[in-house]
Amino acid sequence: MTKVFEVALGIVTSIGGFLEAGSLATSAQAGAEFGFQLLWVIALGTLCLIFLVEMSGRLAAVSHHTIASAMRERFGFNFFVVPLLTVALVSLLTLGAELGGVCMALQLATGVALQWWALPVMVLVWVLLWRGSFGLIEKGVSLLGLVTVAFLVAMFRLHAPLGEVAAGLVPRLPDHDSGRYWFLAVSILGASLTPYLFYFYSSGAIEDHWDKKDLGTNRMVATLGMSFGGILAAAVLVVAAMVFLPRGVRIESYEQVALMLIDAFGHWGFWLFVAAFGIACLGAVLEITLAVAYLVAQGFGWNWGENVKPRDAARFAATYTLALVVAMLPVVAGVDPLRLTNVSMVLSAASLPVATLPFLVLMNDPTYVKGHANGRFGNAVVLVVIVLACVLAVVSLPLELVGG
Amino acid sequence: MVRLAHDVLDSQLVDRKGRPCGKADGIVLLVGEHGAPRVVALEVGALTLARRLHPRLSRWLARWGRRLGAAAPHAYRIPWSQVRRIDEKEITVDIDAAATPLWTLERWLAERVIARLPGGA
Repeated sequence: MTKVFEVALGIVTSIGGFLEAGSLATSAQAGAEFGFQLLWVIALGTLCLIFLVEMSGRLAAVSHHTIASAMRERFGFNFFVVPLLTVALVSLLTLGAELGGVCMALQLATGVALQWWALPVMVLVWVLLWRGSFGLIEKGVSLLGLVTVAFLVAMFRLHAPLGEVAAGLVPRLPDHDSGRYWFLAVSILGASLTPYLFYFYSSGAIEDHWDKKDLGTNRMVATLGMSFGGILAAAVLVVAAMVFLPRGVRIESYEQVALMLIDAFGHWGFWLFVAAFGIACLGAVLEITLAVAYLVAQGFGWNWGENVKPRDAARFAATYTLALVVAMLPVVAGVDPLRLTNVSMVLSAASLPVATLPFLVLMNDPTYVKGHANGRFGNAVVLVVIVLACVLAVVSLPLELVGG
Repeated sequence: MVRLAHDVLDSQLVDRKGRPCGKADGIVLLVGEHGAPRVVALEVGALTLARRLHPRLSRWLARWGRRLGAAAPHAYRIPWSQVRRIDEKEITVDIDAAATPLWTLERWLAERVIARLPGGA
């Protein structure tokens, strides 16, 4: 019975924690500009994410290593320094985007400009990390994040044409604006596969003391949790397609995205969006801040953990404090949060080979995963998707920056 | 048999109290007048790590780090005789990390920064 509860809780946390600024913004943009055409990219990204998250949990459960510590040990520090810096920089940028999202939600709610919210939000996040335990942060915030299910409800209230939606799951070439189409495709892949996600997951598994007994739970949580999460991202796209496309609205700011639930819920739709968006981004902020500190602490072999007092893991606590401050700079400087989100999602996609290929090698090395090495299918899916994401990112980012 | 580069270099170090205390950044070999080279110590610290990336980086770090006084980057040696156990997850060394330079930055942060913040003491 406890096992069932554990699996259920794990799935619920994954669903509640799935949507964040990146997947919300990119899905909404894709729906507004291309209708249901880009749904297949969400499906592909989610499939790849299921494999990566499952691998991350399996590595931790079998080897008791996090991705960062195993990678450093297996490849040596001189190699590891490259994924370390890449993932840390991309994560800091993503953290900035998510912090911008929380501040944006507060601006939408109060009318007070988002720069003013930067400091209070930072202090709130810092206090939660400083005083909270890993379980509180992971489960508490993710449970609140279930409010994002509103997007799925909205999809049904708007009577989405399920046949046409299903047709969007079939990959196809764009019928117009192919540059923009591929840019959004790679943004969606970047948002689904942000490296901090699976790096964080292995640290969480260590914090929760997983071992081989947990492999079944891990497989269930990864598969079901990420699938349902992907369905939420798909629902955002569908709702955006039904609300914005007929009106010819192209998403240029979060103020526009904020109106997407009004057709389904009326006046309350606005507040529902603000709550869902704010909470989703706050959850991501907490996870990414921890993820950066985990990465650095594990990379250098420091004592780390969210379940110990800050003074007993001083360098770890100092790292997450510093990460918050650095990531907040673009928000304070007035960088548009949506633009920051788009750029960090594409850079996430571009960084995938560096973040993922060495991890894939680990998952096939019996020294670490013993008899629990990857199957051919898992290897193939991850390999194909990350190479696709990286190529698209490298091609489309310059085009978007010049053309956008 | 211990494979130095594979099993030791860059592995997690844990002290006798079970605290993670850095990683094996370097391995010190002594080449005697006769006979094979002998492992004498593990070296831990930012200076060692920086030297592996690039010798110039290590020199810069040493020069600029001196201003930090006690918290200056170091290269601390743990005698090989203190190594108790090498397994797949970590290397256990018979030292009290908190009493060595390995803990300088950690202690400095804990006492000077964290203890002064609300909820840090």
